[in-house]
Amino acid sequence: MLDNWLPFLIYGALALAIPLSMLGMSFAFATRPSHRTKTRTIPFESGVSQGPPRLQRFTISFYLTALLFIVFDIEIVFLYPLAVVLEPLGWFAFWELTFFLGILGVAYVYIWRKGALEWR
Amino acid sequence: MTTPAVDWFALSPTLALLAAAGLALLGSVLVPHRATRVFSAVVCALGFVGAGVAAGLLYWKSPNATLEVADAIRRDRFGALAQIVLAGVGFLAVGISYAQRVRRDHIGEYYALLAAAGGGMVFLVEAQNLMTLFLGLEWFSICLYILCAIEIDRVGSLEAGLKYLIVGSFGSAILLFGSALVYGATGALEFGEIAAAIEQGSLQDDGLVLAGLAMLLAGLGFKASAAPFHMWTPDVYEGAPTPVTAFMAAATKAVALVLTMRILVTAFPAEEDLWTIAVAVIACVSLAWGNIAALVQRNLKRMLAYSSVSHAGFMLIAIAANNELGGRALLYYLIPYSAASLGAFAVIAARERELGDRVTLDNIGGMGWERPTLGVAMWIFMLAFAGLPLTGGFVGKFYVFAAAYDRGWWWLVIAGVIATAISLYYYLAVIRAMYMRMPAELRLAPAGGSPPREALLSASVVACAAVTVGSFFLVEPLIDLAEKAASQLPF
Repeated sequence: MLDNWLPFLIYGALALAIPLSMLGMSFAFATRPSHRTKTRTIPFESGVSQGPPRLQRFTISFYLTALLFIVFDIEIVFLYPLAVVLEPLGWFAFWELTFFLGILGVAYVYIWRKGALEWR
Repeated sequence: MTTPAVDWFALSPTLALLAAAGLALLGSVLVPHRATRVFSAVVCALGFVGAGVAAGLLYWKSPNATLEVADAIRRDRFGALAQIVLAGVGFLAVGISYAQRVRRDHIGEYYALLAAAGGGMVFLVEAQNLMTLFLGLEWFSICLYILCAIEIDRVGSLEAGLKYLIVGSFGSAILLFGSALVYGATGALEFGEIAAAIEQGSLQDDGLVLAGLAMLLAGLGFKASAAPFHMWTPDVYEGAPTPVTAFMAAATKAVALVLTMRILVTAFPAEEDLWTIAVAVIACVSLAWGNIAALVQRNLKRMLAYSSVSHAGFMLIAIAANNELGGRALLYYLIPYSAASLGAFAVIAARERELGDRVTLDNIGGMGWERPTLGVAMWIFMLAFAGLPLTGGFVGKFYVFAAAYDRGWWWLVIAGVIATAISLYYYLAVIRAMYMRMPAELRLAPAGGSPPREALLSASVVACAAVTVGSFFLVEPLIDLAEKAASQLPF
C-alpha cells in the first residue's frame, strides 16, 4: 500500500521544493543589502530584465489583434502537420480539415462583419 | 496509417446544434438588425428540434450499444435518452429567452452560444473516453461562462460569469488532473479499457487510480453542483440572466449526473465498494446542505439554487445504488426535474421582467392572482420538486428510493425522506407567498397597464407544466424507455 503512494510523496516533495527553493534563493542571493543592485530588487520573470518602466498607455486594440492573430495562427499550426501526412490519410483528412476550416470561416465572417478587423 | 470510421448518425444531434450555432452567429452579422432576434431564435430552436429528432432516431436505431469514432463515443440508448431530454430543455429555453432583454448586438451571440452549449452537452453524454469527456465538458462550460456574463451592463451578471469561470475552471482542472492520474495508472483512455486494465493489473488499491477516481468525482461534483462542491451555485444562479439559469439548472445538472453514472459504472466497476459509499456520502451532504440552506433564503433564485443542490443529492442516490433500477431512476427523474426547474425559473423570469427587480418571497406576493396561468404552473413545479403525487417528481423520488432500497441501503432512503419533509417547508412557502398574502402585504406590479404578454414564455411554462404532470400519468412508457436505456450500461 505504501509503495503506491510513494510517487505522490515524491511529487509532493518536488512541488514543495521548487517554489521554496526559488523563494529561498531569491532571499539568499538578491535581498541582502551588501549585494543589493537595482535589477536584483525588481520582481523578475525567468531572469529577464523588465526594461524601462512603461508609463504610457496603449490602445486596447492591440489585445484584440493579438487574440485574432492567435486564432488564425493555430489554424496554420494544424495545417502543417496535416500537410505532411495528407498522402496516407487521404480524403478523410481532407474532409476533416475542410470541416475545421469551415468553422474558422464562420468565425472569420463573424469577426469581419462585427468590425473587429477595423482599427479603432 | 488507419483513419477511424466516423458514424455521422451517432454524431448527428451534435452536428445539428453546431450547425445551428454557426448559422445563428452568421445571422447576427449578416441578417438586418430588425430580424436578428427572430432569425437567431428560430435557428436555435430548429437546432434543438433537429437534435431531439436525431436523438430519437438514435434511440430507436440503437438496440445494441456500439463504440464509434475510434472508440471515443458510445452510441447507446442511455446517451440518446439523455440527449432527448437535453434537446427538449434547450428548445424550451429558447422560448423562455425570447422576450429577455439582451443588448441588441448580443442577441445573435446569445442564441449561438445556447446552441453551442447544447451541442457540447449532447456530445458529452455520449463520451466514452477521458478525452471526449474533457472536451465536451469544456465545450459547454465555456459557452455557459459567456452566457452567464452576457448582460454586461449588469454587475451581477458579470460577477456570476466571473465566479462561474473561476470555480468552473477549478473543477475542470481537478477533473483533468484526475483523468491524467487514471491514464497514468492504467494506460487506457477508453472507459471499458480502464476497467479491463484495473481488473487485469489488480490495480484496485493503486494510489494513482484511487486519487484519480476521487478527483474525477470531485470534478463532476462541481458541474453537478453537489455539496460540498456547490459553493458557486447560489451566486451564479442568482446573478446569471434568469433564462440562462433555467437552462443551466436543468441541462448542466442532467449532463453531469448522466456522465457520472456512465463513467463510474463503465470504467470503475472494480472500485464499486469505494465509490458507491463516496457518492452516497456526497448525496447525503447535498441533501442536508441544500435543503437546510434553502430554508432561510428570501431570494427565490437563491432558494431554487439550493433546491437544485438537494436534487443533485436525490439523483446521486440513484447513482450510489449502482444497479439497473438506479439507472432507470436517474433517467426518469431527469424528465420531471428538468421540466419543473426550467418552468420555475421561467416564472421567476416573468416576474423579474414585470418588476425590473430581483424576485423575493415578498415581492412575488399576489402573483398567483395576477397571472393565473403562471401561478398554477408554479404550484405544479413546487409540488413536483417536493415530490408530491400527480407530478412526475413523486414517481422519480419513489424510483430513486426503490433503487437505494434494492441495494439494501435503507439509511439512504431515510435520509431522502427526511430531506423531502424539510423541503416541503420552503416549497410550500413559495405557494403561500403567491396566493395567501394579506392585501396590505401585496406588492402589485408597477402601474402602467397589464404585465407583458410574453406568449412564448407562457407557452414554454405550460409545456413544462404539461411534462411535469404528464410524466406522472405516462409513467409506464417513460420508465420503459428508461429501462431499455439503462440496460445498456454494464451494471
